[in-house]
Amino acid sequence: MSLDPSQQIGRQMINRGFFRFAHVVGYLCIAAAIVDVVGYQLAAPSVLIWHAIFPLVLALAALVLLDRFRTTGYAIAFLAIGGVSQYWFAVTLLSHEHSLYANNLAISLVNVALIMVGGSGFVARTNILWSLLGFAVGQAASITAGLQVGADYHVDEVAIEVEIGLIAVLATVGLTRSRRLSARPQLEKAAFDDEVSDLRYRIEVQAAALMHDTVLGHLDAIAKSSVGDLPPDLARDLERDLEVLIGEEWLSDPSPELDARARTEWRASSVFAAVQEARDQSLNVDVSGDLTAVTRLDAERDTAAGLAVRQCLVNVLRHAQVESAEVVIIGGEHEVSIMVIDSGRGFSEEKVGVDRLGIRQSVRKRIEAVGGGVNLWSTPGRGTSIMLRLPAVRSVDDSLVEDTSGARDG
Amino acid sequence: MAEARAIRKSYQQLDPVGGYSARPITIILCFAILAYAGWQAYIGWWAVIDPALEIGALVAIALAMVGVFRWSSALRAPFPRHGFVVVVGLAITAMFLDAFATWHGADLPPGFWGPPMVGLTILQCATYRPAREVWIATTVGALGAAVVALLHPATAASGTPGLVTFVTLTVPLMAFGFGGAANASSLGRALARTYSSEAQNSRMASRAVQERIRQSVQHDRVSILNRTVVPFYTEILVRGSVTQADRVQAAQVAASIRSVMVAEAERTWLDTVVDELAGAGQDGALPGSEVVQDDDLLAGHMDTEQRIVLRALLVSLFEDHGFDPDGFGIVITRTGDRCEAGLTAKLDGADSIPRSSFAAYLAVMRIVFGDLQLTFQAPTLTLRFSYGHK
Repeated sequence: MSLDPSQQIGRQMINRGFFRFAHVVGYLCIAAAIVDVVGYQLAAPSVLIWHAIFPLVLALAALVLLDRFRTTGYAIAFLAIGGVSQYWFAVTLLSHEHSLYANNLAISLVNVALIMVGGSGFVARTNILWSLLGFAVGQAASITAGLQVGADYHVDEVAIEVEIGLIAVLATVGLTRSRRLSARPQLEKAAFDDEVSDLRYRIEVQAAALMHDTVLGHLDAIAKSSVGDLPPDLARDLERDLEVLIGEEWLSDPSPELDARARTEWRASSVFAAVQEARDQSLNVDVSGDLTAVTRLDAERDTAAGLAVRQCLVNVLRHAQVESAEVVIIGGEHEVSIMVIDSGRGFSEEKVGVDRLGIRQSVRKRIEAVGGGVNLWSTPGRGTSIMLRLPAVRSVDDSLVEDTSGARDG
Repeated sequence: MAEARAIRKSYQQLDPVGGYSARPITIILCFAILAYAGWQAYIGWWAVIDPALEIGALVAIALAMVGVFRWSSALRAPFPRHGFVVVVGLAITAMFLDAFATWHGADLPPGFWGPPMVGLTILQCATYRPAREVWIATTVGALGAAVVALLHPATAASGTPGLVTFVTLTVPLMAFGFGGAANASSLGRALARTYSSEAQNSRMASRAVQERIRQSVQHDRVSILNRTVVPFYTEILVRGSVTQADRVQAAQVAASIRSVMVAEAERTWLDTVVDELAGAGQDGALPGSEVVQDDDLLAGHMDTEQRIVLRALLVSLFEDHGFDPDGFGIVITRTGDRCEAGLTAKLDGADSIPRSSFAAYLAVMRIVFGDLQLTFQAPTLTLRFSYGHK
């Protein structure tokens, strides 16, 4: 189970699900129209309408391509081919309407398939527009065919009902978006907090074990030792304890060094430039994680990420009232996440004035404009974490993650 | 493999928040189905031979919608399999009754509403049941519609080819049903891919933040030791001897450190969360971990998902405007191999839980804790749930 698929992923998922629904309905409708042709032909062998199958097969092929390559071009191609096919099909069927006992439902089936074009967008509003376009194309083709053969073709009630139903459902999906998204940020934060809590617990356990093995054991040794000279072994143990306690590496986990190539690539990124700029302004920025992941961003996203990180760090400098911040870079399979964390005074996003555009414009909108997403967790008095998620252009396999994971930037 | 496992679960189970947010669409479809069936029955009344059967059909579809409305409630999640069987069974019954109502007539009414309503009913449930079950229900429904198409006397009388009548009656049902199954399957597969991606991100994140936490823990420990142990050791090493006073002091410091370690070990994540939430309160009036009664540290037996959703719910409760700290408490006890938890919260001014700001988390809890029982007698909200003892 996933408690926190990100908002962007969630929206894409729901839209892909809608496309699958729409296209399966489209396949079934066109296939049913083909079966109808077969049914009519078998019932009246003397009336030749076999050729009406060809435009339907063409429409079916166009739908297969649209289903496979969900782009605006293929959606337009499907509507164009579907419209011509519908005209051809309707002319053939309506020409023999009386001898076939044909009803308009077979024509409605193709109209419904055109309504179910799905389109290429990820927004309910766009999908509604695509379905309206499909409806218009289907009706235009059917009515033109009816007028041409002088048949008694009337308003396609089935297509209208389907169109109204589809618009109602898509509009509801759009209107309930806030409901869908309202709980996710809190669950995402809870998941993050839980992970941090679990990590802290494990490190606390490790620290407790170390304390037990060293300091506590040696305190016990002192308590049980004889009054008089300090035994040499115990003196050595106490000296070692002091070295460990005063030293910096008590619980440190040695990380592999960043290799030369990785360091070069990281230093060429916009995020690195943003970090350096903040450091030049006396902000102590600690960078960690999979640094080379930023090299899997294309030029546009690299620039957007750099500018967004720069704005986040400027905010830390101006508002957080701390002298340090942390930038953590995480390379996923299909996206790169960059977290900017500070332990400053925090804020409530709702209470930020409308004239304050830093987070809203320079971070959130900038990242969303290049197909990414932004999550922000901030609690007054307890710091702020901002996660920028950006789609990656290269897969993990192509990057240097294996060589440099866990590396730290000095 | 993960994908195969995923499509055996419903979208509601895989993404409880998504399932929760689909409810408005489900409710709208309920009313749309009832309105459409009623309207079509009205305009096709001329073809009805047995009005009692037609009314029976309308009652059956209405009962199916009542079932969908009841079982799709986020606070009753997950939608049970037997509920799905009952709902689809009622819809198919409605379809047959609608057909029988016109059986001895010359025509099927033009708006024979049975098959599309069965399809829409199945489509409604596609969010709440696994794709495989939706496929099966659609196939069963389509077979029923095919039987009506082949056997209804009006089929032969109309002059329309049998194959065309078959298509006319079954396609709406199959389109909605198989479309719904494709939707459910697509969402399941997408979520499965998201899991693996998120699991990888999570591991990467763990490595990234590990060092920061390590430094924080080290800082906390060293701060304590610097005040007590470091000066004590330094003095002994400089002097080169142990006195009776040193022996006593060593025992005292060791006992003091041990007591701190024991106190830390006797806390769970739940104590920490409640303390953090209390600390975040501005007036200090919020309750701390003293209101968590968990003597056997059973909170530690919750799995990751259970911890996450309970944590999110607690945050949401503490942030609720009507939250009264005096009425909050959590009790966890052990019964056999189960841990049983009870959470009580007083919410002044609250009148409806489904419309509250934390309803989404309760919906997720229904999935994560399968036996969650929720009672709300204003202003007291009580949750009871259990989970396995590891």
